[in-house]
Amino acid sequence: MRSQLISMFLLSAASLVFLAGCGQSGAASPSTADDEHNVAQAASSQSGAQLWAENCSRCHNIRPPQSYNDAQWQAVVMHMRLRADLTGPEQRKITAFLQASN
Amino acid sequence: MNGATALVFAVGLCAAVASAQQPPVTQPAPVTAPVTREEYERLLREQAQMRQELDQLKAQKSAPALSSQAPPATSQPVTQEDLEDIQQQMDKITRQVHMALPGTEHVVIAGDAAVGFTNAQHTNSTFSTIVSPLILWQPTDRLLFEAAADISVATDPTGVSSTSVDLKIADASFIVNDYLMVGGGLFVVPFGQYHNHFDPPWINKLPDDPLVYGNNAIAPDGEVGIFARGAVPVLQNAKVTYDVYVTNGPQLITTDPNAAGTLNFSDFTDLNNGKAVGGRIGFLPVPWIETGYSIEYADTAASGLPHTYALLQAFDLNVVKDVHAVGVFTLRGDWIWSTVENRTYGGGTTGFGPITFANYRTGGYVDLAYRPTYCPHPIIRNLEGVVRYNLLRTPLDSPGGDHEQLWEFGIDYWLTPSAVLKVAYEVDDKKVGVDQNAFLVQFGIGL
Repeated sequence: MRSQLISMFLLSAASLVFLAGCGQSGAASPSTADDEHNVAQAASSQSGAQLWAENCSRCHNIRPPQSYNDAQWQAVVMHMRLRADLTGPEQRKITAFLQASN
Repeated sequence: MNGATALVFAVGLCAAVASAQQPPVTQPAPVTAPVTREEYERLLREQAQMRQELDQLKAQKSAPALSSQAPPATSQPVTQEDLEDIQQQMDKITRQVHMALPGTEHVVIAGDAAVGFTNAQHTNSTFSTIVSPLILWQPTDRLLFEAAADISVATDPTGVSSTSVDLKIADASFIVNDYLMVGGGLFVVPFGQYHNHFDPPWINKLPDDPLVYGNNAIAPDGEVGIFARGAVPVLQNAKVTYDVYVTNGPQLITTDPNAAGTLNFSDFTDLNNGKAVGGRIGFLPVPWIETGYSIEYADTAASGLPHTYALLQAFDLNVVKDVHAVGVFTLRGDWIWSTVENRTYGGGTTGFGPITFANYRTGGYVDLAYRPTYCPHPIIRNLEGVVRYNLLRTPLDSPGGDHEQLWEFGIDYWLTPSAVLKVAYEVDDKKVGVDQNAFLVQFGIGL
């Protein structure tokens, strides 16, 4: 029973990773048409401000955009992508919002 | 050397150079012929002409600098709109420059710190402190390095002071695509939500860790290995998150008479060739609710000893709801099951046992918090009330086994979004051990 449970979990996780690995490639900067397509297709019609408020406040009080400069926000939001399991489009939208608001 | 002599010498030198550059001729001109008056005056004219051209070049070169210092006489008066437009252009250029900065510029030193005071029954009261710097370095858009350490000073209940520097994070992460990141190193294991999301002192709503993540933790914190993680949007606003990892895993404690059968999550080297595998599946039906299931399976015994497998599982929930005109409610918690296979400990020269048991431990915590964020009074809206229920059950026939319940009641005052003063009182109830009610104060800040 235990080995079946573990096997099922690992199979599900491997399938998710495989499917995610087949996704479209996208880095942090919203500069290409592919990225814009991803944003439109994948996440939602939510704005960067909305995503910032929803995803950050789920765990902690939101930090004001003035906390960091543009380059620092890039690194911080990528760090938060790891911790909060953000998608690429969410990361780009939140970064763009913070960089435009600091 | 007078001027005429120098001039003659120069002419001679030029003539020599010129003759060296000329195609060879059958009858070379004599190089020792005297300079005529006519040649001398021609050279003077050429020198004067060159000097004039040099002055003109100097004047042309200095002209742009002068024009940039003084506006042209025909310029229009500068309006406020012009200034704002220029400012916007400057901001845009500054942003572009920042984006194009080399990777060494994308460095952030963040982290958190806390100073606390604990007055628990049957022990001396004590202050404690911890500083946890976090270094983020993003050399490219897709690559991130993280390093974090806990630097702490504390006095333990026996009155012995201690200092420590513990590496907590040292990993590299790479963005494969919008829905997948991979990495490796010493990383925070995504087992439950507490360590991954809530344990910094400016996020944790109470001064101490939940029982299941405290001194007698039954779940991992950081482990060394590799991972893959990401999130996939589903339906309208829902999202599925996933994490899988392979690590060195925890180690089984076998020789300590007070802890035999428990797992050591703090020793990062491996004792065997069997790696721990684990992961977490999370689901966010709406952005303010996250729930997940975690699992880790590991061979925990040292090489040469019988294989002893541990299975850890956790269910987690986090709900943060902002109710308009009322305030923000938070409900979060983890529930953990930890099983180590049946095994015999002690006997022989160990000084205890032998004891045979399967170490089945279970426990968890639930936090409930409320902050009246809509209250017009500035002091009241920065207050937050917190209640936490902890439970930890370990086999009563095992070393250190107990059934413990711990209620915590706390009041937080938020000085800033990332600085909080916490006061709490704990009511402890153990079945075997001595109850230790405690009063705690902590100031926590995120940097």
